[in-house]
Amino acid sequence: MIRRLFGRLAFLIALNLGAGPAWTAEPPGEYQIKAAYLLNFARYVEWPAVRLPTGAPLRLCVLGRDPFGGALIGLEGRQVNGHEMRLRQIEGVDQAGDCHLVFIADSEERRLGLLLRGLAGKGVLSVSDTDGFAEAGGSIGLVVEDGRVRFDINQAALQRDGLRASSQLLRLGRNVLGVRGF
Amino acid sequence: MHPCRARIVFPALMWATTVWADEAPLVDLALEDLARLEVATVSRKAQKLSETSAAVTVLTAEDIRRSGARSVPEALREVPGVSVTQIGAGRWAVGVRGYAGRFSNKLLVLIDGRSVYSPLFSGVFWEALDVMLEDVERIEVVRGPGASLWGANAVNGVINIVTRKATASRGGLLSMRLDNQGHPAVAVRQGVELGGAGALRVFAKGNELAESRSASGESGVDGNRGWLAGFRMDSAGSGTNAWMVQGNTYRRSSRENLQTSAQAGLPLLLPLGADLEGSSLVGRYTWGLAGGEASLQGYVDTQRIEAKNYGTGEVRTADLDFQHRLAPMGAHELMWGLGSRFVQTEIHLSTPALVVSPSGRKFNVASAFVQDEITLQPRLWKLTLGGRFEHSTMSRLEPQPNARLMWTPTDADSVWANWSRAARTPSVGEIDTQMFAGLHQTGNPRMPVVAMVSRPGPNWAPRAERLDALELGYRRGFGNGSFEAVLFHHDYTHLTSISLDPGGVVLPGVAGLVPAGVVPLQYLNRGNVGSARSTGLELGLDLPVTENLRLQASYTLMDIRAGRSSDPVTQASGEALEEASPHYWANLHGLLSLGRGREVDLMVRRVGAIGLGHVPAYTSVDLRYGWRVSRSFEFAVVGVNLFDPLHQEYAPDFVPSQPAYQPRQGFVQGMWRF
Repeated sequence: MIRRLFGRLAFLIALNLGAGPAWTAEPPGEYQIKAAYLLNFARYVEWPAVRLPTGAPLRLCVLGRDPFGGALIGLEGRQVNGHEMRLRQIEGVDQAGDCHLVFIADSEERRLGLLLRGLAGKGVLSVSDTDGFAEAGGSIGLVVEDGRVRFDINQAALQRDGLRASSQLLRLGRNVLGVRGF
Repeated sequence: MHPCRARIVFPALMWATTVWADEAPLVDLALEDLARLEVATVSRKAQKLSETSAAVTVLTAEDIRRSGARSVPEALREVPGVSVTQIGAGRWAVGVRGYAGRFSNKLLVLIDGRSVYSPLFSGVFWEALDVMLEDVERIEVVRGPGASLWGANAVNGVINIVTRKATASRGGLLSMRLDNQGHPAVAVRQGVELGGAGALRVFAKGNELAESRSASGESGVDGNRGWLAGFRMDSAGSGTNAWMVQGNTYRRSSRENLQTSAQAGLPLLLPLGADLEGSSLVGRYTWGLAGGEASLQGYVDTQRIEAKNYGTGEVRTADLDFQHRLAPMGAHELMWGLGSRFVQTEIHLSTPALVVSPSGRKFNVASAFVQDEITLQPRLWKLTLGGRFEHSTMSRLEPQPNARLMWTPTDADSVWANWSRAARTPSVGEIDTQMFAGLHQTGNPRMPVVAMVSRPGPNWAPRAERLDALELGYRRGFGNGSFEAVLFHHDYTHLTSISLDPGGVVLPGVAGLVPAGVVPLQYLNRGNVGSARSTGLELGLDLPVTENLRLQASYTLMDIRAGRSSDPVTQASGEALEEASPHYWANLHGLLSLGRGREVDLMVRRVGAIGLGHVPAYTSVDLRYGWRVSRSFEFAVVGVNLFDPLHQEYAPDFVPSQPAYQPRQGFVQGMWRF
């Protein structure tokens, strides 16, 4: 009976996929929203002038396996507060020297502690969607809650790196860590 | 039919990858609007696995919640390669890649780094394993030997239960459940901020578990009730160094019936009650060392089991572990560690059926591991070489090497091949006990019945069981879904088994075991005389079908063959091993979102027959309806085993318990956050 059940289900799935349009009309995917967040973080965070001189390009680097599936390409060349956004794929923290915003992919979860240590004090805004990223010492952790993408900010980590988050960013964060104890 | 199913589903996977191509003009949205956008389908974090050259499944908190699981074994049911059979109330047989007996001894289970593997019988007392499921962040299941990183006895797999950091569980939580038999469950948690230092949570839970039925549907077969209380403290996340302290204490009472056929005719039921209690304290500190990251973890753990009228067992463990992950040096990423464990056991028995000598044991286990992850070609080829060396004063030095090669031709595909060797150290029970193993009908009129007693062989120098494992795996991530196929071949040698004592039948034998009086005795000698091979295939699929429907399926196919032996008893044990696990099992979980926080889950499970004890194949259907009424309240109504009035999942193997049947069940659960 179970054989038949599985067979029929597989068939239904195949049919459903064949129909196609249901997929293309779907609302934005998780990583499309997350890509939009990255652009906004670049807008609402201020880097020290030595780190990001006026008119210099703002580098967004992806560390690990790019989970955005092409959603980041739309950010390339965009103007953010007078800086042109550039994309880069990096393999390790040693290549992160000229990055301003580093997105750490889930694939790097096992070496997260090591990566955060390597990035600390380099004036890099670290963003990731691994579980508990902001609590682990990262700058901004993206979280999915109740079917929506939210973010946690670790204010202490930002201050350590000389970065300033705008009040608007702090207000919209789900949790702001590093103030009043956290 | 299985290849056929794969053929239909596979084009679907290929198709799914193309979906990503189009891109929405979301980037111009303001921050406020982004936070309000509803996500179509949340991806299941297959990415984090894409770099892992092992068969790993991660159950997230959301997976656990949607499965309607009330305990860890229930949550594990959806993981490919893991067979979960319910023995009775709170009693489980959990095995990875076979060996799913009640005392499945080839599986390592960790809770936040603390091993809950009992050295008394080399297994896990699932009766006593209790966690606050609401605060579990994830459960990682590694199939196959994970020895080099995790430690001894991670032979067939590792189950690593990770609870949330206290900084991530702020506020209060109250969860209540009531099942159709009237058994309640309550769990409370309160998070507290500790100024600038970090956060603390304290929790307590108590429950009474659903009971099993007898073959004729009567109650009174078993029961399980108990409580758990504990705390966890974590440092504030902003610092570069982190610490964690947690402790817990529990007590559970489990009862079942022993069934003896000693009285010809009607089976006789003897109640067996066991109280299990224990406490543990774990501390961990993580800091930067030589450009890398080091962590030091220590814990103490005590567990006491009291089986009324039969005896007591006590285990005290102290463990210290150091790990260091070095900063990458060129293509190499090194990790190494040292560990030391001190174990003290004390067993007192008051039954002639089981004799332990010596009654107490103290032993040390010292271990060291090193692992090098070598990038052969960036983003394409990766080779991991590792080894663990372990010395136990109860066994001998066990080198456990492994080599893993991974090829990632695209961002979505990973292919890996592993070879590893793992060891399972013999348990106190195996080395020190003499046990009545039943009566053997000889068919000889002059000596119709012989009592069998298993004991450590007189010349046995216990050594670890060995596994050489080969694994070939393929994983593909596509958009929001993933597919995984793993082939494995396990070759076990030096398995602890039994053989006929060459001394033959001993007279006058034993008295008092049967009313008939004195019965001749035959010893069965325990030794590292067994061998076996197992081969299997594990398939896992996670497929978002539409924006509201997602399907998760798993299928496992496996076969165990024991090595032939000229000794009739070793041969018979091997044959029993071959029939001790189902040859296939499958799961299908449909997750449907109805919008506005309402959700429906349909879980269908099919488990093949188990030859040993003649447990027939069964299909079980569970249904869950959940509603997140608001951010602070949600509830769920769950029906378990809906279309089947009664089924048996397990036939008693080691302990001659009365067979327990699982009835139809239902429960409601409410959860408040404040």
